[in-house]
Amino acid sequence: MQISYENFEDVHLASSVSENILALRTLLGNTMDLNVMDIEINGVPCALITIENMVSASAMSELIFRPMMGLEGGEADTHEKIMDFITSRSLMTAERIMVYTFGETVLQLFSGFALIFVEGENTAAALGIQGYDKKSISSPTSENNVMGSQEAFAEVIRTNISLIRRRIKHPALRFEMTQTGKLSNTDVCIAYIRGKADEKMLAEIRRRISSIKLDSVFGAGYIRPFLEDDAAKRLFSEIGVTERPDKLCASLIEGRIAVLVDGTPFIMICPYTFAQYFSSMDDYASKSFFAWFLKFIRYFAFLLATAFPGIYLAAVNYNPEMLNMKLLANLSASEKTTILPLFSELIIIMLLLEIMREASIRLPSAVGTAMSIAGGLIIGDSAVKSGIISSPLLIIVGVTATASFVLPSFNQQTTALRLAFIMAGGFAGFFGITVCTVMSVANVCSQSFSNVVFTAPASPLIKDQLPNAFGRKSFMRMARDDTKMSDLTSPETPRRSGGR
Amino acid sequence: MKSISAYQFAGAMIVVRILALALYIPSEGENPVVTALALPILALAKYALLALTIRAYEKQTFTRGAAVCSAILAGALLISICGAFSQSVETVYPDRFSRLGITAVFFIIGAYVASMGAAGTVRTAGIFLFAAAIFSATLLFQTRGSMLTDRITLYSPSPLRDLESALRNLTAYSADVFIFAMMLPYVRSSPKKAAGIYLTADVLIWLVFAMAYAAIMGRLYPRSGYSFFAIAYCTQGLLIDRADGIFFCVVSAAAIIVCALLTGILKNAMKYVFTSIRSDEKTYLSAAGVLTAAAISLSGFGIELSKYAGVLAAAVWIALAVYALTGIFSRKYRAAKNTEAEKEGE
Repeated sequence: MQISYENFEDVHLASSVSENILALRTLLGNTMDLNVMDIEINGVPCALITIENMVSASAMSELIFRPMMGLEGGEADTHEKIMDFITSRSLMTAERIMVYTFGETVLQLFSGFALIFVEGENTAAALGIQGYDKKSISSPTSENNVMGSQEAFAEVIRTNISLIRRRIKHPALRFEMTQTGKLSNTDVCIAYIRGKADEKMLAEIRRRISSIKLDSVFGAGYIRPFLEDDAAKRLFSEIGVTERPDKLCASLIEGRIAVLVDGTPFIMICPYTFAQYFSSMDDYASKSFFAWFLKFIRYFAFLLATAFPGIYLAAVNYNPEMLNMKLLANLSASEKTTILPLFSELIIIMLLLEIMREASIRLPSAVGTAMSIAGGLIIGDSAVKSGIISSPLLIIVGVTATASFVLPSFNQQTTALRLAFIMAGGFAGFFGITVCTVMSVANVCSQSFSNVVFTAPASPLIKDQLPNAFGRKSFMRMARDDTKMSDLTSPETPRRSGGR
Repeated sequence: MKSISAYQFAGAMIVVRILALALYIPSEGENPVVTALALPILALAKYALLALTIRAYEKQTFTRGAAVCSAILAGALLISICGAFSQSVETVYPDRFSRLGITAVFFIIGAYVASMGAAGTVRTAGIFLFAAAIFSATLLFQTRGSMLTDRITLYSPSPLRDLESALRNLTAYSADVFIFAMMLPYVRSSPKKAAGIYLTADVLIWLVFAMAYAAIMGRLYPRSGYSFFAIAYCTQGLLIDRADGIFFCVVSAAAIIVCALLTGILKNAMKYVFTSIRSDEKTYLSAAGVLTAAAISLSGFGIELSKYAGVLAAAVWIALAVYALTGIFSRKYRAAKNTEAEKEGE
């Protein structure tokens, strides 16, 4: 049997156990973690093949060895009877798949299945007895809540599927599994609720995932650009990401579609609107009036994090008459003590802020606290005392940094926009701020995903959905309304499906 | 309502256009009786002409000749609006901005915004409409009448005549009817109803603008753009005094959006005419580059297109209408001839 990396997926299994084992060893390069156990049942040669540390030893002995050894001395004395026992007459494991090619064999082996070959059968039985080490369910790392669930998704896709299934106990919840990545063969699962999700959107997602030609897929970030429209040209993404099961299930019930990727706890939600980035599960645990207030705080924090330094720079340098006289006098006195112009101070301090932020992510948590104290207090205080920066500027930077932590999902966008606004305000005052704002808003307004406009429900105006964008609908009203994805679609937006 | 309708589009266009045109410098010397009657007469004339254009458009496909006319008109209006805006900005802030720099930035940024598509541009206009309303309300709320007397000496001693002149010039030479006629192919709704709503709202908003203008200022000023700045300069708030910088942001945004809409029209027309150009981005950048060069060249020869925009717009519209009507009649004539030929063949 001629087998190689180019053709192994389509090469059919042979009837001879030894031939199959030889071909498998050749294909895997005699890898050290391939375990082959030859056994004989009533004179019929069989083999059990596993990958080391991928299967559970106890499950293997209880669910495979014990029943198989029970056949010895019995009536199963031909390969047909043995295979019939494994496939039809026993309940050895919950998952049982028949494999016919080496491609399927390798895929199931590396997914933690045990394969049983029987002499005379050109097929093999794959039994699911996964026992590899995995991280347990923990708290979310980036989407903390006060009163919501404290569970987060895990790295194993099947664990994540079970977390979703536990929360939506309805037969309309569907999961479709596929593999992506020529070398990694990563499991990717599409989750949706039939009747809520738009069928055309679903077909489009399937098409885009199947068109991915990467060698490896190790996280949601690999697949996300393929799901987006014009990913390189857009500031924001119309594909959201979450690690919270409760948030994902709420999105599924609204008619959105989830894409799960094995190996990452971050699940993609399609489509996502701009307003949704400002939502949190705490909104649904608070009173309605407080939820509205929290939404306002988040929108305001976003504006502070992006435009506040640029506007300050434009006002002080180009339109000082705008500022209150007392404030202007104080700012002027502070700026007189510094050696650099305001624009240079702002650029330097913003770059230092980004360096400290990046350092705090990479450092161990014990050192991170000390790093914050060193950076914030010592460096900042010393810089003001030595006249490198002014104290009002330190306040501006502090407010900006704090505001940016309100929306961690917007970290990339707020950083880029902040620097753009600083450049625009520094070089062209309020005209530059306006140009930057118009460009950003136009970029956001032109985004859509399969007829769902990114700026919905503000533009196009959808009055029913507006309370959720700027606050939260009351639960009484939510009970009356039946939300579907078609409520957010705009018929005028063309679907971009060609040329990808 | 799940899509941008012609009404929303028209509403966004009206206010955006008004704010952008607010910086135009009107000409002087009209008969007061005529100018007082100009508003309703011109509104009726505009509606009649627009209805005729829509009728002609419905009967005629968008041919290369119409595309050339649209391209010329869009280009001329673009240069005119950018030139007028940048000239006004240079006059108000001479130590901060130069006319050519702002004009070039307008073309390029307008091209970028236009590349987001008609729907994206109109949604942007809708969002800025909301923001502009909030800013304008804040400005009016914070205006201090006691500070107005200092600004009055800057303006004309015959304000009523100047207001009438401003209204007549803005309604006669305003580009809104032509902009709207050219955007008709891209607005999906009943074009006749949309045109009627658009013009009615246009007249009403101008009336409200004139009344508010007179009520706030106490007297009326000829340079509507400068008076906005004067109003903004008379504000005093707890945190922000003199809000002219904020108003400047609002009118800049409005002007950019109008430029983006015109650039979109220019791009579609150029693409139709020069069908070998396949890349949208190249078309936009080409349009921006050509217009920048044209504006700089014309300025160098002392030609200010803002003065001739109305005449140019009317001439192009007439050519477009004649072309469309000619097409209708020639098609009817050909259809009649074909029918006769078929009857003879039978």
